[in-house]
Amino acid sequence: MKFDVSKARELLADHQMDFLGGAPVVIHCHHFNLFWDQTMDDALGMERGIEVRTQAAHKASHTLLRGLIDSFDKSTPIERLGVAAAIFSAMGHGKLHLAVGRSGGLVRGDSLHYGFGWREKYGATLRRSAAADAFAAGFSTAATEVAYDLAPGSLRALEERCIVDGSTGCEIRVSAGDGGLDIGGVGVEAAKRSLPATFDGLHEERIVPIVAGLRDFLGGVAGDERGVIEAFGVLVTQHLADYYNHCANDTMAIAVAEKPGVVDAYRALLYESGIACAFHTFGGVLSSPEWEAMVGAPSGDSLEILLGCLAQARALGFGKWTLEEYEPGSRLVLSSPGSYETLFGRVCAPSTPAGIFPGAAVGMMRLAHEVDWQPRANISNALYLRLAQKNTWSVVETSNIASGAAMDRVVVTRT
Amino acid sequence: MTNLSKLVRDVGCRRDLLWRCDLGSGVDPTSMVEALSQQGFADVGHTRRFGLVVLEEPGSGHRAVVVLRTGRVQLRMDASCPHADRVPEARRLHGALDHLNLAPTSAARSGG
Repeated sequence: MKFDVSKARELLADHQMDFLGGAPVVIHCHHFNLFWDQTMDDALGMERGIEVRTQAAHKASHTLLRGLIDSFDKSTPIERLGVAAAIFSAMGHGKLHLAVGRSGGLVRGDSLHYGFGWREKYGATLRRSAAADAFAAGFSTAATEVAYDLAPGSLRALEERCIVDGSTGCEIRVSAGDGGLDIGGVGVEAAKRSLPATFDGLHEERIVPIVAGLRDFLGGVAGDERGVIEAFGVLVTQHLADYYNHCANDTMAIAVAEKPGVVDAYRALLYESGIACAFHTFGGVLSSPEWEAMVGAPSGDSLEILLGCLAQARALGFGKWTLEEYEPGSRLVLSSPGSYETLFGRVCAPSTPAGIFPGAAVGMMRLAHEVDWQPRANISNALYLRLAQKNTWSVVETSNIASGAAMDRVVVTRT
Repeated sequence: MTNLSKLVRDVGCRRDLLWRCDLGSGVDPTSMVEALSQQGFADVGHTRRFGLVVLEEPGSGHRAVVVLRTGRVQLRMDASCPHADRVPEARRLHGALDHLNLAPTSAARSGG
């Protein structure tokens, strides 16, 4: 089933945040997504990590699908399951075959983003036995609940087979749940009420046209016949921001209550995920033919790299990240009237840890100062690891809208 | 005469899927797009207005991505292509593109 989701989209342009079916959405690549899921598992252990990630997907997907079903006025379970499968593929998460009734059933998955991405990135060198597609499992649960008008938590799901262990396909079992799931999350109306006033930064005249071009380009990007988006040299997903936010918040709550010894390491990994995002996604986009066609191949000028990264952050729906201050080679100050993480903190749970903005700021300085862009950059995992060992930059978060401040603000300096 | 630089793995290459080469400075990128279209390659990207043309080879599903402003060419092997076949397939496609009869740029035509 193909359908036009444009009428279910809303852009809060002043804050560069995107909503689909009333749920906040962002774009992230497989490098970040795999790193993110691994971070939850590292903090809680694989079994608990899968549980938290599946439930986070369940909650975030319920909000999305409820909103979409209402937008498209789909009344029968078959129609609703068709919408769910179509949007899942359009967002680049693969293909779901939802053979489910009101008490559950079996879901077959093809080219599911996490399993497919893990196999592409690590399959040649690592072995893995635990299933990778908790997001697809949680999404399938929500799709079934919404199709049959069941209360959130009526069902649960577990991926029983996954291609990461050599299986030929993925299978998810949906079955009776414990009930009583509080789906929470940020709705578009709450976002409008809660976000602080927007503002501009330096060099807006250079950033804004790039954002417009990228948004125009990304507006035409959707999953192919496999439900996969291959662009900019990465596997791209449009993803539910509250998947990440529920993961971060729920994992922190468990860590504080049950494993206080891992809290600092967990925070550090969230921050590292921001660096990974900037390096692989921003760096990959800057190196891509798509960027070369729209903007031109990067010259290597550090300001040009930073502005390109800020434009990407906006176009990907992270928030209106602005340049407040920049001293080449020594200091970077970024500010923003909110990111998708800190908005969740402001609306839902102020203690939610946020790593994307400070981490990405460091990643941007690495791209601007430690990557040779001429004649061409070599954005690779090997370079990522080499720069991580050098650890040239440190960052301090000086304010955060989750704690009631008027802006998110980070300061990066040389270590 | 050859059109393209040596074939190398491109940034972001995963398991031999992404390859890069560049058109010689005197070769018009648009003429490569036209030549490939005449050979049955389909424009599947619908991104020409961004200065990027994505052409799919009939049968194999491999794609040639041409940056019109710079002449960069990215070869994207179809993901269903067996891993062992990706390198020879990339070389085959590179060879085919390399020997197309392409027009020079207007600057090259005028001797500039």
